[in-house]
Amino acid sequence: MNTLDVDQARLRRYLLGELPEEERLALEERYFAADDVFAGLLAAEDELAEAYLSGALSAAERERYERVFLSTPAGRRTLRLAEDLGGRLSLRPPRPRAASARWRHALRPAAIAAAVVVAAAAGIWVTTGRDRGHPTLARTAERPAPRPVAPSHDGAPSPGSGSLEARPLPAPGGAILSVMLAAGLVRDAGPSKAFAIPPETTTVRLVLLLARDDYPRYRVSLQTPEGDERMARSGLTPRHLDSGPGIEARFPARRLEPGTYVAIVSGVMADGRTEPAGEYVFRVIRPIRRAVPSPATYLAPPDHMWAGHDFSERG
Amino acid sequence: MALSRDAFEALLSRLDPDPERAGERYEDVRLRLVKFFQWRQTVSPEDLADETLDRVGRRLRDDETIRPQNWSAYVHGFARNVLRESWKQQKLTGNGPPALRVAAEPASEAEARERRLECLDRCLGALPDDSRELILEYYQRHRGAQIEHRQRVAEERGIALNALRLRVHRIRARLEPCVRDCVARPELRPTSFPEPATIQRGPVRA
Repeated sequence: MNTLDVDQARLRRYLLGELPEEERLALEERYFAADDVFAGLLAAEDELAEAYLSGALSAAERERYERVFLSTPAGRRTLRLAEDLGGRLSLRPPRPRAASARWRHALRPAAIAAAVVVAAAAGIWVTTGRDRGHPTLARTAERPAPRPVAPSHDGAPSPGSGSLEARPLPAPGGAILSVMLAAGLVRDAGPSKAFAIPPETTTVRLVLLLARDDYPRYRVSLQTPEGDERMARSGLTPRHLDSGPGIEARFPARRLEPGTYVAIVSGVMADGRTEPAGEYVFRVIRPIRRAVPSPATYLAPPDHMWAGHDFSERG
Repeated sequence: MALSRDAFEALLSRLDPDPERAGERYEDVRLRLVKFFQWRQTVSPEDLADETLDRVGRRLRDDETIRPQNWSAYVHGFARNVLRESWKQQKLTGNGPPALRVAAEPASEAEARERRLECLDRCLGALPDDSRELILEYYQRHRGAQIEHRQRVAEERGIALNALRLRVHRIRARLEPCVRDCVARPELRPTSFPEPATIQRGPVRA
């Protein structure tokens, strides 16, 4: 008895509760008795979760999936864990949404519902937005990055065609601000990168590009210039972005008061020892609401204009 | 719920004379049970899995001649009874799932996610290194080539893909309650997970 006897479609139908009771019982007997049938079901469950999170399920399958898996606390927890382990951003299901021609042109694919601001200084990209009742989920790995609209002025390495994902935001009443910092930005190497955190932001997601990916795990310590650690994230695994390797760390926005911060990245070796892997300096400034968005720095629909920031303030 | 100590010990001793092997087999059977109850959309799959194991353990305690050839299949019979009883119970109590046992719901989904991720970090940190590396590697995104990626991971570790899946899901079965408890009670910080060999000192009630 093995998985070849039970085709994938049947396993999927079992998980979605579509098999008649008699067939269900028969399959249950088989997966209790045989490891490979059970492993096949686990694989099918993972694939369903991944398809759901990436928007690959048909409308009917999605509805079925929600009815079966999201109707119980355990089912929701399981999906969230798969999502969190995979580094996904939202539990919310994808709902295709047409974008205006302007934004479709500027940001592909069309379903992107977040605002994008690219700082005039190379080396930092910021995305933000908020939930507007049309939940979407990015296929982040496939999404082309927005192009920078201004050249580098400070010699810092440019993200180039890097993968700053303008991800949709999952938080009703909240927002995630994504900030990408290029590798090689060291203290005392010129002005720090500045960005504002809009008031409704709940989470700041730092994407730190690495010069090299030499470690299985990383730790990020967010410190003041004086060396006081404010927050830290450990156990971070490197991601392979279009711009190269990078790590992602999320911090509560409310704990990022205006000021200068140093994100110190350490590589964690297999035996637990750490080595310096990079420093990234940035500055959080108070947001300035602008009456009219500047086309040079602003690519978002008007209701996202909080992301706009007058970078001429940079010191 | 937790298993009664005598039932748990009877079950473990019968699963395998070697405590480490017995612990592994126990985790295997329990994972199957949790999934069974979850795929049957019960409200508390873990509680029902433990209830099932408790009944099996008590039966084994009371009859020392029982030596099932296939433990999972043997346990399945008990699980179906427990499932039927839980359906009846749900009907009696109005069909709906009970209120969530999460003590404090965060104000927003973003905050909830932030707390979950913090807890996930803590729980991952409490796992043995090899388990942590394995589960993170397994779930790493690979642009639609997930199956190929997992096949590679299995090959690198010299095990079959199905064996890899079972191992990963056993780790998940330990991780999930840790994250859930951490989210509900942040003051309970995980320090370490019991290894299979030491599981006898784990989920039992006196």
